[in-house]
Amino acid sequence: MTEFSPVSAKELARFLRDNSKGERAQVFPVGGRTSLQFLGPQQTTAALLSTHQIANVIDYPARDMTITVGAGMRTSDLSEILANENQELPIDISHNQRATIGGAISCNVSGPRRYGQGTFRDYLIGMTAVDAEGKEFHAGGRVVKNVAGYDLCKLMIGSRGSLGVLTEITLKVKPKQDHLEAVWINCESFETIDLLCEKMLNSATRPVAMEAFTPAACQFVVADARINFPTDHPVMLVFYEGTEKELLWQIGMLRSELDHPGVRSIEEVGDESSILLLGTLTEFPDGGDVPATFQANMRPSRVASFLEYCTSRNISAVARLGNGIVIGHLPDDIGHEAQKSVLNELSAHTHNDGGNLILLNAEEPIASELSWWGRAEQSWSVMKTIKESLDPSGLLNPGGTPFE
Amino acid sequence: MSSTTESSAEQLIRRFRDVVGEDGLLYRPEELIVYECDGYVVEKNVPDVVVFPRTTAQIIELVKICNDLKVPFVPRGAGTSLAGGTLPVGGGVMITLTRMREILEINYRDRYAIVEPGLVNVHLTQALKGSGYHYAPDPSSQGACTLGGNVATNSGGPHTLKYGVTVNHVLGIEYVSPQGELMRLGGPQEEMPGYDLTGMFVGSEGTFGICTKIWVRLTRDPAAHRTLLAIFETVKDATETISAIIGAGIVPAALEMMDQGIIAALEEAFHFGFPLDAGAVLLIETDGLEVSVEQDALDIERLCSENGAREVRRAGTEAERQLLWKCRKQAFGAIGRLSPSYCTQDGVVPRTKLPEILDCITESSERHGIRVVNVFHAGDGNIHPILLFDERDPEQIKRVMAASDEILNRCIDLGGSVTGEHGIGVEKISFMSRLFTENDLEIMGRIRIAMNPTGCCSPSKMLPTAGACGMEHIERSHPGKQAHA
Repeated sequence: MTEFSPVSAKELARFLRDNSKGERAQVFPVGGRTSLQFLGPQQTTAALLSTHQIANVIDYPARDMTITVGAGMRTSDLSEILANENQELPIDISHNQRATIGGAISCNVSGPRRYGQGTFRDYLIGMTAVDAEGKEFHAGGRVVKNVAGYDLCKLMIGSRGSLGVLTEITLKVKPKQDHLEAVWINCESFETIDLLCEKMLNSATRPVAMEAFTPAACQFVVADARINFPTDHPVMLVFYEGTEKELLWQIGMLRSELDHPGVRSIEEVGDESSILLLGTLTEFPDGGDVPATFQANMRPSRVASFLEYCTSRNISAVARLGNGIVIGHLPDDIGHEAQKSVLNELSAHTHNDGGNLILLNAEEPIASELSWWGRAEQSWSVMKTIKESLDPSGLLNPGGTPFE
Repeated sequence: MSSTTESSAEQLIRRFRDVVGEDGLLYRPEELIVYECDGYVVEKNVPDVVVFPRTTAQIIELVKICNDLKVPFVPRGAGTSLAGGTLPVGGGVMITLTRMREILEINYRDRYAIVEPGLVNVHLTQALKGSGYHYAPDPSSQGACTLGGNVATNSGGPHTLKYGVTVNHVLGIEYVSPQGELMRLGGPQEEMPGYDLTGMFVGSEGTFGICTKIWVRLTRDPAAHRTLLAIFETVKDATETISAIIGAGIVPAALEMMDQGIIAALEEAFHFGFPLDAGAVLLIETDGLEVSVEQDALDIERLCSENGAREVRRAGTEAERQLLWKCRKQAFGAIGRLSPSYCTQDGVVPRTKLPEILDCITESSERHGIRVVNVFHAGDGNIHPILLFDERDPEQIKRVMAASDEILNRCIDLGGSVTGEHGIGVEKISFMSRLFTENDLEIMGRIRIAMNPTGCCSPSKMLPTAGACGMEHIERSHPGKQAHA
């Protein structure tokens, strides 16, 4: 597999232009390569186009709370630059020492704090990209509010480089929060968790994340974050951010609001452990050596029963309770047919509610026997039309979209 | 010049009548005059027919008839667009959605509501009152504008400083494509595989089809808020305060500025007790937990005083707070006391460039002899200079256009944009080639063709090359604003 790492957007554009006029090789854009294991086997014949050297700060007017950087900037570097001005991009990105901001946007990465802080849709305000023919185009700008022209920024988020290669990113940023604190809530059952979620809808507190685990995931989380909390029952985890005063008040309030017989214990995780825990949950989708990893998308009200089912099948699953997203790893002690059957049952569970189940990662033979992108949606035909209009020869990230 | 011949117009009306009945149609000249323009009054053109569907099935039929007869059509909500977004350029059919105004579902457990496009924004807010939830985007016109219109223009409002604009609160859209197919993007689930077409549909100014159903995100009400009115001798002091507040890392829920000209009109209309001798006032609202909101308010008061505020008042009661917001949101209604016509601009600059753009507005006002008053979303850098004139005087219209051009061109020069929330419409088409490169416009053009192959849906909007549907020959009565390099 050939690889090219341009040092500038111009060089990248030249590469794509020359390719489109010459060899017409299929091109696989990459950043920090932290999501390559997700969503199907990589096209081994495609040329790798890495943006990691396009990593400069282009403009950082900190008082305007926006920043423009090269798409290849590592997200940890971006965090450090922002932290110097007491600002942050509050999106949890896995492998942030390697992940690039362009790659994270292209894969629409998010983590636990998406519940309270949002996703890239809420922060990407401008971008420059290069299409398959080497033509540079941009959308949005460097102001926080702008409705001129079609919002191509939204189109590029999660497009996995299939419409163009991001070279420059402008983000809206936020003041950095002082502290993070997690509260570990040991519950009798998933039914209790469902009830607590309902209570949280009218909580006086404002969590930034609400997570729940199956027992199998719980054991992993505790070990990975090096914390010592009960794992024998279903667990709900609530994260808060803010000043010490805000956290103290909110945790006290949470304790009184969740006073319920189904709650076995409520424990504060502590400042440092909360950060470790957030990191563990952010990295959770990268499950390592498991037969299959999935992401199920559903309405939040369906999550508790979905977790209950996962528990019955010994699946290690973490749920974004407020967002209706569950990420799970299949156990490796069941056979291939059983794995397929479980995945089909999980798919049916999500489809019944209009949701979807995506295979993030799978070993053979599941990888070639099941649909990676779940049930086909009507909107895929529109996506296909858009793809064909922007990349008519299908040169960018072949096989990287659901409709192909 | 009409785009339909008399016989095709008759056929159109007959077939439309079969779909929506006689009471769902307007086609007599005296009835159509109301629809000759929207909130952008500088350009006018009557549609050939205005039709009022009540159901999605009727919209599908109407669109298919338009396709059969090759007649252009434009969707319209309440017609509050300030950029001519619903102007029927070249005539054709106007599909008005105000009879599709139901709230189809409110689901607090999953924090969404499903609404029809003709629902008035504030009616959703009213329906949610007392639940602990609200729909966050609150355009100043929320008492009249529809959610379908908000989707088309990606509307904002004062509280978008903290809560984001329409696109940040839309989960899914059902629409009738320009070919008459019913399509759905997204839904109550937050994430689905593939491209974020919902995000791209929002702000497409009606050029991708006719929205028939919207899934909107419900947002928790703030636990507490403090609403402050800071009074300044000069506009400069007020704008420096804005920079100081944001620079200090405080993001209020809303940060609005009103200058002396608009204060006088508001005081006359609402008798709030605004100081008539003030150069500018800032309306600042901070919200959050009760335990922290007071400290934010104290910090903001301190920053206001340090930057020359002569007085900072607090809304002492909810009624006082509501009155303050009523003044702000109905500011445009008070302008009738100042002049018979007005034209509102919608430029955006980086927040720290507000002093420069306000200087530019003052200079343009003086140079062209057009009075300008300002009421705008200062925290976002989203200016709304209101140019006052009499539309019966063509000379004044020319000067208004010239002053507007200068202001918007200066926004671009300062690193901003010509529209923060009103859209391009027909008004600002000529600026697109200054804001965007040929490549950018070509890409947008390709997307438009992918979504709207014949160009019959909302022709001549947003893109300079958008003339289609046999309308390339159409000349607009006013050429809109002009960009200069």
